[in-house]
Amino acid sequence: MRFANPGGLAALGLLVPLVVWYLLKSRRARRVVSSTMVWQSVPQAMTAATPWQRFRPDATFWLAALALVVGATALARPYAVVDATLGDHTIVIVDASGSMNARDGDTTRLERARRDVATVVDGIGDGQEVSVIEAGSQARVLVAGATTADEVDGALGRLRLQHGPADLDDAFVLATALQRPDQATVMHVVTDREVPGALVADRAVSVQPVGEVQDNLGVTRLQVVPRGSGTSDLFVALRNWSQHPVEARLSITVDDEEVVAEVVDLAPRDAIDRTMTVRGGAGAVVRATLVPADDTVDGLALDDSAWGVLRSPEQVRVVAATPGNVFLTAALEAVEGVEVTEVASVPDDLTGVDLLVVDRVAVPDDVAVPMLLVAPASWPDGVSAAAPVELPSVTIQSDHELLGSVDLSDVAVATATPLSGDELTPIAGGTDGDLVVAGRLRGVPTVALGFSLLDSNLALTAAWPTFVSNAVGWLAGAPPAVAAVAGGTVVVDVPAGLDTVLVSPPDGSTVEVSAIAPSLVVDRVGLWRVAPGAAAPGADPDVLADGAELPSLVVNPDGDEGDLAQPPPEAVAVVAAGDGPELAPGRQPLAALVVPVVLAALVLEWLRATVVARRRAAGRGGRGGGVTGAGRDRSARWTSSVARAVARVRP
Amino acid sequence: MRGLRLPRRGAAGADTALVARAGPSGAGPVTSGPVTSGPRADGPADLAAPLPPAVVTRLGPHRLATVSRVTGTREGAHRSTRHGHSLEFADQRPYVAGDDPRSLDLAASRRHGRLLVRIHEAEDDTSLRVVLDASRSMAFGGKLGMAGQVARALGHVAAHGGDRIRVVVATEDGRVTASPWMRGAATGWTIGHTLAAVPTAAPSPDDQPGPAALLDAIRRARGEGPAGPVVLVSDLLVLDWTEVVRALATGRGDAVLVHLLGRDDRAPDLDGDVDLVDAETGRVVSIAATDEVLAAHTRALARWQDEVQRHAARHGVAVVAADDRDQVDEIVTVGLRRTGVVA
Repeated sequence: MRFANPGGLAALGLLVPLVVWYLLKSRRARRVVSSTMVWQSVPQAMTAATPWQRFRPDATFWLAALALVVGATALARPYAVVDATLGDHTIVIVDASGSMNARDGDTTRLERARRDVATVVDGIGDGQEVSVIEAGSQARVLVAGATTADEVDGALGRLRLQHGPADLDDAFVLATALQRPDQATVMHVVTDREVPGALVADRAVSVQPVGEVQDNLGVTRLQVVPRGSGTSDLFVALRNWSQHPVEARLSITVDDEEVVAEVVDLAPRDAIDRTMTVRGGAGAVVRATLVPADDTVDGLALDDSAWGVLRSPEQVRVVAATPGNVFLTAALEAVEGVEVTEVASVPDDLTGVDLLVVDRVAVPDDVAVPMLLVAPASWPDGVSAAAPVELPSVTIQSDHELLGSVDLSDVAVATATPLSGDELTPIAGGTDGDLVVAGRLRGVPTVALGFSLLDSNLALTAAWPTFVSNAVGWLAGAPPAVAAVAGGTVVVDVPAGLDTVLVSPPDGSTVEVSAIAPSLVVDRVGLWRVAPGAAAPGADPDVLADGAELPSLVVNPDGDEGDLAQPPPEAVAVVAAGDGPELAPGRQPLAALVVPVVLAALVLEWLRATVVARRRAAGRGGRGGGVTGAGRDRSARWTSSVARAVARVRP
Repeated sequence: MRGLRLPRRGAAGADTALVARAGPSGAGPVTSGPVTSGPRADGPADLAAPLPPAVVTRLGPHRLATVSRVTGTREGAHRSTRHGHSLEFADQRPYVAGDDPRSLDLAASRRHGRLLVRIHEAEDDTSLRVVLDASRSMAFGGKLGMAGQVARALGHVAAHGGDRIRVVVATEDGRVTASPWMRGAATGWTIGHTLAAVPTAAPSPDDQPGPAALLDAIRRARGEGPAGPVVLVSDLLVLDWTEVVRALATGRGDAVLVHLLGRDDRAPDLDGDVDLVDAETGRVVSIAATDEVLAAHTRALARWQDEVQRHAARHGVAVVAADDRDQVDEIVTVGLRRTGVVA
């Protein structure tokens, strides 16, 4: 044990007056004796006290001395020398990722990390500095060069709960920037994930693990694809990170109204997808929630839900190159949001065209827009056309989404060209070959029909408009709305006429985003509301209407943060870098251990004084050296019983 | 027995005291010399504690004895103040009508020319009174227990010789408790029953002081029943101890004082400035317990013991100086035997 403030031991000098006080104090003990008759005749029996008493410490003295010794020891700030945990400059990197929100027992991992760091920096000594870096989605310095444990505690109190992954690279970059060449620097990383070896190389780094292996369920993705007519397709990815099968309940709500509720069985470490169609207006908020239906522990709550926003399908510009086909153009125009332009041949400039439909005209090889080919005059590269066949049968139909709600069984074809291609998937066909194929030709979505509508009754069946609608959606449909992931950066759409918009994260705070720098780091999962902010000069006043809402942002959890089954990293003690300066030994303060001793001594003294007072008040009872009442009673009972026995045997 | 001071009957002063020392087993005197302090040991703790079997065995051969004549209620083994039919010749007197012709002393009648009859000594039983001081001062150390042991031992001796005994106790609360006259085998049990009813307690600084009615107890013992020996067992630590000795000497029959002191009386364990509180009177004496003061106390105690011896001798009271660490059979068979109360 060493002392950080040896001068505090000077308080031990108070023992001297304490002892002297006991030597000088006249403490006339009250002593009951059998008689004072003889003492009265002793001429030397003095009534004056002797100035110097024999040193007779009592319990009070020992307790006071104990309190004095322990108090002086506490003033001297004792500490134990431990392995180096604090260098001249200790940079603490605290993992603030989403997985640190997991609860181990009654505390979160982040809270545990906060306590561990506080314990470590309690040993901060003179001349030592501590910096704290929060390793969240974007690393930030909470405090730099703190010289007291209180400063560090204050910085730890500013740690924020975040839901995204930790950017340890960024944190180590910041830590490196904080290093000074004249200081022995220790980087103390507190995390629940393995620290990449490249980050700790050539650095004095200690890793303090937090967290325990836990079960967890989560929704890892929710995609919304508008399908028109007020419907949208949902794509939901579910994940079970535990090592045992789990029965869970999936709930889908649209604007807080539950539209889907089902029980799903998740195998150990399994991920499953669910697709479903929901109905709702543009701007409606969809939420998918997965909770265990059995007694499985769900270690992380933030990934139990994912959000999406419904939207209307976008306008699709279609160019139909055809010599004239009322069935084709009528079916295209029947699709919601489709604008059809009929031309005689494929134009050279296809700028702004979302879909090219080629009907019995030639197809250039370098078309870069999605194509629907209906028996073109020539086939582009990648499509192999066989010899025409007559009256081919349509006996095979795949479950491709192009054939959703489409039945080609009644379709009759007079003459058709069987199609094939390495990048094409058969959609429908028969023994004579595939009549409908789909795929990506050089990356361009393409659907091809090997027969003309004029040679078939397809256009006369109910399947035709549905097939065209499916084809338009598959080829030129709006891209699925992909939600932002926690910890990522999104570009906020600031409408024209506004200089700023106000974004409200789920925690209720408000962030102002300007049109000049519209990027925003979204570090919390949930729905981020967007409202108009400051208007641009001369803007349309309608844009600034109070209460007007802009499309909300949704932020979904990062799939990697939910894997709580990963074991925590191995603890790594401080290893000084090869040529770096030597680290100062760590200090384990011991003052907290001695303070309870002082308190215990004071309590004991109080109890002792109380007991003594009660005994005096109780008067007689239980003092040794004489005949006790209990003994007398026992003797009397015994004697009486013997006397009765003698009386019985006497005649 | 660690030390036993046995003054000769009628002798005064410590210089005439005899000392009998016994081994640890108390088997009997092994040497003699001045009083010394032996290793500290506690005496009997309970006033009503029964006698150890070994002590009872050693008391077996002993009987009560009397120095002066007694007037008993039955025939016994002690010289009576009356004439009787023992073998011991006492006197002659002229024959009167009605005398038993078998008591005629023919030789003396022939020599004196007139009828003379022989008169023999009578032998009566004796009635022993044991007065116990159960005051608060006796509660220190083993004095009270030792007093009870002495009473039981005397009861055993009396019962063995066919004599009567009565125990009178001056209790700490100022009352006098007396047992009935006892004779025979049940004497020990009755004494125990009497002693068990005596209120005793350990001394405490918070006790209210109070004197014991020792004078009343002695007067009651002397005043009831036929004349006989009285044995007072007391530490005599009362201011009017001279009155107690005088009362003890008043009346017919032998008077013996078993002056019982304890360890705390002889060598109190004191240090520093102490307020001494008298357990009986409550009087406070403040002292500085230095070595000089303690030595002065020892000398004062010795002077007081000598004064007790002289005062008792002046009034014909035999004194047996005893300690609460002595063996009770030593007190009885050696100390009291030398006073003539026990044979």
